[in-house]
Amino acid sequence: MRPTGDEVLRGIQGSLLTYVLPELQSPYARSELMIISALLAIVAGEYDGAAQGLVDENAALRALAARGAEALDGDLAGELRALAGRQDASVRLSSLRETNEALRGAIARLGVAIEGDGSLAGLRAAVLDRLREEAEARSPALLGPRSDG
Amino acid sequence: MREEQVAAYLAHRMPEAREIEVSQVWRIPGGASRETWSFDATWREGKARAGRGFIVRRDPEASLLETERYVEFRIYQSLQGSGVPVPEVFWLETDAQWLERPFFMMARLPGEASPQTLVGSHFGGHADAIAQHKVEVLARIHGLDWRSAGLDFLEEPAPDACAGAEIDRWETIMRAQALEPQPALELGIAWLKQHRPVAQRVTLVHADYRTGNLLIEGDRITGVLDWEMAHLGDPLEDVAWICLRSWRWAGDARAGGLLARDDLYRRYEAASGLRVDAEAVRFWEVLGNVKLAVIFLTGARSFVEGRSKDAMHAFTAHLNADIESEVLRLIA
Repeated sequence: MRPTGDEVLRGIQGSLLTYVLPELQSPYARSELMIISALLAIVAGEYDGAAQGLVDENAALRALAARGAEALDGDLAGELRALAGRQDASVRLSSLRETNEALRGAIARLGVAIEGDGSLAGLRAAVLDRLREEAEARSPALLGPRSDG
Repeated sequence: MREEQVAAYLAHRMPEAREIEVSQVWRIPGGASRETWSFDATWREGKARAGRGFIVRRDPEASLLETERYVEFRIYQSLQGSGVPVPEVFWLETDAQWLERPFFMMARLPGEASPQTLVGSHFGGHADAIAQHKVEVLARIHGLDWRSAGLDFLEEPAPDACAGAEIDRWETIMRAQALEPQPALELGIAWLKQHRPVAQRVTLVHADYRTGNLLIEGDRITGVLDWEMAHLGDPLEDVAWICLRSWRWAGDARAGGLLARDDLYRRYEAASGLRVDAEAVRFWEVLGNVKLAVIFLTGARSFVEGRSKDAMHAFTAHLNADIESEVLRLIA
């Protein structure tokens, strides 16, 4: 059905900026409206690709979990192995997010466990790269430049 | 906050004042923890008419930080006459009958604090002088004899415990506030625990010293604001905080939109007599990014739980992706 969810959100954003903002006198209210507008843009941008993004991320995290399970012993290795072997049961966002949180929690414990262990430097680098790639995919790119120049 | 509420409070605090008139009550945008309000007041004292601009720092309904208003108020008091430009503070009020929540009142100083305005105007053509003053004021904060200034109510860590105290503080808040796993921050904290520097000296640390918390008029800083996270610790914590990617307002690598990192280090060493160890700054920069992300997580929780209706608390959570990226880059 049209307008789609993201089209509606973008339309509301335009309406707020066109009709509501000029009527506001309070600097605080104007600032709040600008933030709401930016939030609507972020949510609209996420709307279409949210499920596919989680499916892709969960797959990448499972591969990393499998690699971690191979490198470790003990309970954490078992947890990683179990998570690596599961599949997404549904493409509902709530279900995908639940799986994603379980994977991210386990990857966090993996990263902490291997911090400072020189023999697992390659695995550590893979964890950092994966997390950085995921963070950059989520980034609204609003901060200053990364390079120190 | 209404004019009559403010006028009633002034009458309570200034019983000698007559014909109190309050106007221009408005909330200043920004400040995601304590609310900041401005107002003008005039009154009669004997036969003369007096007046001034005031600032109210009021506790929020929910904030990015559960900060202690008493600490901020006491620090403002203690820094009067110290050479660190701060507003005069008048009253700390914990009785919510006056303005619905606790607050303190202080003098309104001249100057502009908005980073967007300052950077947009290229600091009025005074960027170099402001950069130098920013460094000199920071050196003055770090050179302060905090005991004789009356700041001995702050907890004093040993030089080798400054880093650990801040790691513990922000890790504890993260564990209490995070709504979902935070692998990048967990890795950052694990790295921090293995790279703790020893402070050259334990000093007063502002802990949020950046463009945005400095009032600037012409080529001078007229006020250093927002001391709510101040504590005793490693002075390089403040140097690193200035360098955070989040404050690169000018869209390039200049710290705070003002000066290059090397230049900052050089000027700070000259002004403070302290050495800037690049690895220690790296530690504090990782800590600063973790801290900023945790502050935003706190805001996200208050928004999700309905304790805050401030859209800023939802918006800042979206900035965490870039902050996580920066943590991961710094510890790689």
